Amino acid sequence: MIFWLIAEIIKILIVFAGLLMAAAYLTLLERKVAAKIQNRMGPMEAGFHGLLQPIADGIKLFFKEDIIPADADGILFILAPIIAVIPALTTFAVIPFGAPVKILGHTVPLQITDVNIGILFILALSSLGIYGVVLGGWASNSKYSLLGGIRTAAQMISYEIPLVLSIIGVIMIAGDLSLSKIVSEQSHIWFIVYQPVGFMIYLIASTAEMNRVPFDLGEAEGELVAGFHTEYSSMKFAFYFIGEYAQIVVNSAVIVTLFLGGWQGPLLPSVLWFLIKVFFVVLIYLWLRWTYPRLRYDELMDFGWKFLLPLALANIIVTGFIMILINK
Amino acid sequence: MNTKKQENSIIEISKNLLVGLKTTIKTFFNKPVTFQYPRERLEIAERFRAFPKLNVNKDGSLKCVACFLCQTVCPSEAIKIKSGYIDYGDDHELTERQKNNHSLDKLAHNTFNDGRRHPSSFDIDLLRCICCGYCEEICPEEAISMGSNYEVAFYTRDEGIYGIEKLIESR
Repeated sequence: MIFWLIAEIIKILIVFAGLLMAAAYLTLLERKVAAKIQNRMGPMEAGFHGLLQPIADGIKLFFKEDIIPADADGILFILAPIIAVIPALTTFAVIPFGAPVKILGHTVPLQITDVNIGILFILALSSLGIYGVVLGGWASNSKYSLLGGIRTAAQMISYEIPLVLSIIGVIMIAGDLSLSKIVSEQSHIWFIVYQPVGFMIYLIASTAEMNRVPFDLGEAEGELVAGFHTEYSSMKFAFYFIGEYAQIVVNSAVIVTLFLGGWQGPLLPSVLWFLIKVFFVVLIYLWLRWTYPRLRYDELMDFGWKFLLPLALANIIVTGFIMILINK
Repeated sequence: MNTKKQENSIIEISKNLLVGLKTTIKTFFNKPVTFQYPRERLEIAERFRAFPKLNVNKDGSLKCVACFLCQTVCPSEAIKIKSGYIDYGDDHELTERQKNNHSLDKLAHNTFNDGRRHPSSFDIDLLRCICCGYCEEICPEEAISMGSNYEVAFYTRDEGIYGIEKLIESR
């Protein structure tokens, strides 16, 4: 019992610290990738090739003046960034990041907790993150923030549905909602081979759900200054930032788990395989961001409801048909 | 064939999206074209001309004879000259030309001069200067010419007014 408790606490600490570090260094990676795509060099001053830049940014944000607008709703204004961060960090609890290891005769699964409805847990929590954005937009008492919050809410409703429907194909093939089961089902062949359309829909819808370019209407800087976080400064702004980048890592991890075989891979240790796969999925997100311009609002809605949703439904039907044909 | 319909077809749109991704991945592997400025400097062209500078003779005296032509021609009124004599003092070793010039022998005691008019102060307001080069063109003595110093930054506006010493030093 005590061994189990200690192992669990160590796992939580490692995942928590790792996730925060990943979120911090993702900002550097994003800037470096953007610079490379635009034939620049990116941050070069802090440390070797800018390796200390995230730490410098963190220190800078920590010492900035913490401004709360006079007309803002005080409690909600403080609460909103926290709500934005916590779900993003918590989601990682059910993701298996390595093969079970044996320590002192006990088998320790490299997963904080193996919930038997793991996918539902992820979907529920990642939807909660929207409350941080909407409440932040409302509590700021600013027209830009409010518009950003409303837009994000509408966008989230439109894209949550294709996102969930795209996963159903995977659940049908795996026959289980537990993520560790889904990973072990992929030991022979990755689900991306069976579900290429589902993978594409999940990639697009998750980009929209994370408010990233080309779907970043909530913070469209050309129109809304900075959208929902216009009035935020200092560590509250940093919280939104951490939440946003942690969500990228978590979503990449979910994609790896559902479509790319999780931690499975030959030769290298399982945790390393997981990290490599997550890294490449993150790169895809960055690549998308620095390639495409932002969609107009009506285009965004059209794309979500008239294209992604029917496609996701068709994907489920086709998957079902093929499964029946193969079984009989 | 309806071109509008063709443009809006899903195949056409996804093809264009892929073209975009291809472009960015290509530039990703290109070499960066930027310079890390304070450490790496762009090699400026030989004929590059920025702000004016004052030229001096071999012995270090000013070539300028305070003829006021540059002040007159300057379109942005950046140049302010006050004419006067330069006292080279006792220690100054006179050049051959200066020794042979007796037109100013009646000057006050201990005052030495080369017999030419010189500016007692010569100020160029670099915040007004538009680097047009008229002053260089009109100067009969080749005393003022356009230098290549483009790195000028000041904390106050007064620092932007360069006097004789600064104008000689500037590149």
